Amino acid sequence: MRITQPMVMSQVLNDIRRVFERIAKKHEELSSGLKVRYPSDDAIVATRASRIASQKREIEQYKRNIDTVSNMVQSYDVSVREISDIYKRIRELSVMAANDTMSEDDRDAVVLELKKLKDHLVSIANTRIGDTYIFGGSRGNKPPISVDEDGKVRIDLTPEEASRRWKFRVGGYSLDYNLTVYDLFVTKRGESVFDIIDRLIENVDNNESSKISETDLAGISDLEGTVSANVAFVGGVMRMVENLSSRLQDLDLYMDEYLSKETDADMVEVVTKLSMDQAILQAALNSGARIIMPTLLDFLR
Amino acid sequence: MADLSIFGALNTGVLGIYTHKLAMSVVAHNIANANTEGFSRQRPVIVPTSPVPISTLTQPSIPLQIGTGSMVKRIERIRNRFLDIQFRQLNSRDGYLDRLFHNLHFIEQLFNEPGENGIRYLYDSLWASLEEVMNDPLNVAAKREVVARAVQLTDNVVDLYDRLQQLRMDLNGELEKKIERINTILERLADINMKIRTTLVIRSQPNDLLDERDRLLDELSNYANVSFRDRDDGQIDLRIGDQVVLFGSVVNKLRVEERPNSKGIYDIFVGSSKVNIGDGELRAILDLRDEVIPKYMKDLDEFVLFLTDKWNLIHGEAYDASGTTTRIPFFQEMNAMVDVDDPRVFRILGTNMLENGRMIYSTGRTDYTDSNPANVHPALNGILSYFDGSNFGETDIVSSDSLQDIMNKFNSDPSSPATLEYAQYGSNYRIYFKAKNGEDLKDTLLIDVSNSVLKDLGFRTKTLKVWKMDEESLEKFKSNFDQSKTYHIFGTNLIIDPNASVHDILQSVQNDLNSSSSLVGARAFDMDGDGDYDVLYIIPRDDYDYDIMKVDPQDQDGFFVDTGTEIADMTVLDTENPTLDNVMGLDDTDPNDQTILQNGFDITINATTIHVDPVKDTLRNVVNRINDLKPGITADLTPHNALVFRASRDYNFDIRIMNIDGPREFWEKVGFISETAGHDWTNYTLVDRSWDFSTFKSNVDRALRLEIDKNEADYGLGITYQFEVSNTLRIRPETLAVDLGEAVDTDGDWVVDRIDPLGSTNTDAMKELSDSRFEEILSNGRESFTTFLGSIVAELGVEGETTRKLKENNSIMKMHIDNERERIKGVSLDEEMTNMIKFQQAFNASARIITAVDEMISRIIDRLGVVGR
Repeated sequence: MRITQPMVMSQVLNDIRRVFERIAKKHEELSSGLKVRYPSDDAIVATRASRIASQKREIEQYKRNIDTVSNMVQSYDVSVREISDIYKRIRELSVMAANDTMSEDDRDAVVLELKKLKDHLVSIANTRIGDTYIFGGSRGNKPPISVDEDGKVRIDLTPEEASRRWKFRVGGYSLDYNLTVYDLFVTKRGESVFDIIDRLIENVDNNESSKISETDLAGISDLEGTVSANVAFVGGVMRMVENLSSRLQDLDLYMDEYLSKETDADMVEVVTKLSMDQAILQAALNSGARIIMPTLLDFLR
Repeated sequence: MADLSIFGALNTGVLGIYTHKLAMSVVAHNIANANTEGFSRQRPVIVPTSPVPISTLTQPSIPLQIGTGSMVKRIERIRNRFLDIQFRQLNSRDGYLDRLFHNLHFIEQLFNEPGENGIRYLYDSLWASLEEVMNDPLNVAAKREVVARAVQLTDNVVDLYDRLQQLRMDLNGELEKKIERINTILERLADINMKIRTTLVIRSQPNDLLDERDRLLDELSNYANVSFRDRDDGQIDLRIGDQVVLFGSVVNKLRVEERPNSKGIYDIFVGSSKVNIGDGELRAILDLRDEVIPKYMKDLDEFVLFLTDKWNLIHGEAYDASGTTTRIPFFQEMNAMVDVDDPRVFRILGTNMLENGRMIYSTGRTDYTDSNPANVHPALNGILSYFDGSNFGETDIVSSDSLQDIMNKFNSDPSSPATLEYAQYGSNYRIYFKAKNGEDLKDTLLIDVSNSVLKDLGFRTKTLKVWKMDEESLEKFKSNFDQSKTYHIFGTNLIIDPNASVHDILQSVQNDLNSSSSLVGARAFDMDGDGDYDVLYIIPRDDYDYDIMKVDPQDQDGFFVDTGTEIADMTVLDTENPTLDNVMGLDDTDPNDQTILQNGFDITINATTIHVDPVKDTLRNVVNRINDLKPGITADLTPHNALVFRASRDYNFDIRIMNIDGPREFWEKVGFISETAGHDWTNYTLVDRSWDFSTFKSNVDRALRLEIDKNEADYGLGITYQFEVSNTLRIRPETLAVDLGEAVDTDGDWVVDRIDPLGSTNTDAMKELSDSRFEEILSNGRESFTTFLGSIVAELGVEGETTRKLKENNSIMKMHIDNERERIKGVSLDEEMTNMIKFQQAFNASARIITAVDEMISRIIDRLGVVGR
């Protein structure tokens, strides 16, 4: 079979070029850390990587949504506990007052304390974080409760506005997470704590201890029931948020792993292959040198 | 007696010398050209010269054929034509694939996916900013961020689009340069052809000219697919693509000509015929310019069109946080710029938003087979009641009642807001509530007191929370108190006497609330059938939408605690399902409407028929059904239920080239065409592909159109250049619309008359925009925005990867064939060395012959006949 010098040359050159191409590709992998950099490197993997990157960004945002909710829910937690304590104190005072043996001074002290507790409740109801009144429902930029000159407390938030809840969304999953004044300061049957306190104050002032034990105490236990229900609600939301948060964390981690497995270069593998290729390059150059040089010319006289 | 003269032998020697001298020149020529590109080695064809018949002295009668030497008959050019043809084919392919791959690689670098800076990233971060606004609705900075990210997205998309267009125009310009180069080569070929012909005429071998011609053909094959035909005079006729460009020595030059109405797109012509090029670099340039790049540009166009329209229609129906500004588009509205009189129509939008209208009918989902309801015995037992906000009614049903009996009982109450009807439905029968004249089923409660009637008749129900006072709780009251107590509650005074019977207490509370409370009404029921009331339901009036969350009982006297009144669930008819019989206001007493109620109607879009059943289908059902069948448009509803038809890419984003038919009444109701009096169910052709634009406009006279340029000369591109965030939003991002508000239909015809804002913390417009990420409205209803972007990446990847692999394979094959060519035509120095030795030895030997013969001649001349001297 006829073999000419140009044939040999071009063969040698091509082979050396191909080894260099492989080495260049390995180098690119090492320096970028990526096995698949462009879609044309591997269409299936690249498409998957693009989709996973997009999903990761979604998860990032959901995590941020959760953080916002988490902050708010912490505030609710603190407030609800405060309210619970106040209601307990009110009960204590009512029980004391229901007892006929109080003197006028004692009763005045109770009334004073009740008034202070009422003010405290008003300020909790109007708690504000940033620009938002946390119990303000869908009218969150205005205080839900106001006090007029006679000391009568008015709830300015309408039940309709309160019925529109704040939702937090993760994926297609939506959860109500806010509390309004109607949840904590108004019983299920429609009495507001301020009216209960006002009535209580009136009864204590007028020494109507029987009324206190009949109706006011029942109203207070109603309130306590409402509050404990909401403690449960807040707790539930917090747990849900924690669960979601950790699930998202896991998902994020899993996606990172998957993405890495698909697109990242295995450094060990690449370095090993690179050394192999370098040895091959040496061999190719060596053998190339040997075969392209001699012709008959060297041997003829 | 003839004899070979001794000079003959001399001559033979001389011929030997000449021959081998010539042969040596050939060897020298080969060696000198060992590295010349395209050189085919040459070989002297040495043949013996004609022998001479000589009769010898010894055998006079039998002549001997005496050879006379050798000569070089011709110098052969060693070349395999077949391999040349093979090589050129592969070379064309190589030119094509190489060019294609390099540009695809450039394109995928422009797109920058997968990566942190590509379009997908920008779209995702725009979406994330929407979520942030929902997290903190009162934060102006969050809104500013939405606008900023939208601007980033538009800028980048337009930039990418522009670069792709730039690439196209650059490739286009290159065509001209390549054509010039090809023409130069053709001129040279013509020249060589002529020289070859001349050389052959004088019977000479134009080996080097042939080499040059082959080399030029090789070069040419990289540009395009070439084929040639031999002529008798040694010239060739050459075709590029399907046109003859070389006719012997006559060149038909290639030239580029601008396509009319395009922005300078070239076509390649030879004379007056367009050339179809099948392969090579030119083909790659043409494919890239006309198919590959436009495909990706069209992908961007589709993305931009749908995003702009979807977002604009949502944003345009919403209010900003102050509740004042509305109807601002999010993105700049798209228009036809050039083809204003004959544009493509991408989208038609119904001018009627269909929401919150009068509910006339509510149909049970059970199909009955008997035409006579007197024969149907559902065996129900319970109480069906109604409350219209002021009055209560009650129907007691026993298990022996037939459907007819039940209907009669219910319908016999003149103050009930509705009647129960029975009608034919397809091949079966249905039972349904029909609101009386002027009434609206939404404004009434149809109560299933015993929770056993409505569901069993097949009606949809929902749970309503109401207050309940029952026997058990009153017994406790009676044991706790012994004197009447007065309660101020629900805006009125209630006196409850523990000494009265449960029945009397319930009745007095019922009467007091009904007569003097503006907040609630009440109704007592005898559930166990013993003749005494045992339960009382207190229900908010219609002013409060029957919603206890909207009523503040203002219980200052401890009513709830004392009487044990609690919140309980009540089953009522669900009247929230806006079926089309309600939306279109069908009249079950009109024979035409009756036919439609019974059998439904059809809409035809291109070749697909969509059947609509107005009794069961809502507008949303129809939209989903259209999209499932994928007829060439995607249907959609705006947040306030205006119908949208958008053309898909299969129809080149143009509704005008489709055929759409449907009943006139339907198109009127959605607001595509003007209203006429009455219900007209005749077929109305909404769109016909044969219409011109003014006919189209007059036939779809009310729908709002989105028009875009045809741009046919440039493959229908250019839409993305209009992609921009609207000026108003950019300058004043606080006008970002967040609140979709509430639609109000004042006259009950389902056509929304106005929209009232709901408040600054309401961000449902943001929610709609965010959810649109996942809606499958692109790619003829198959892909969402995010999957669509993923598909572009996939397409780039597959195309790039395939081209790369093909190119590699082709390269290897090309090299292989080239080697084969080399093997045959290449100069082997070893071989030439051997030949050189051969010829040199033969030359020396011939020279020796001459010397020997010379000596022999000398002997003859000098010494023949001289004896003894």
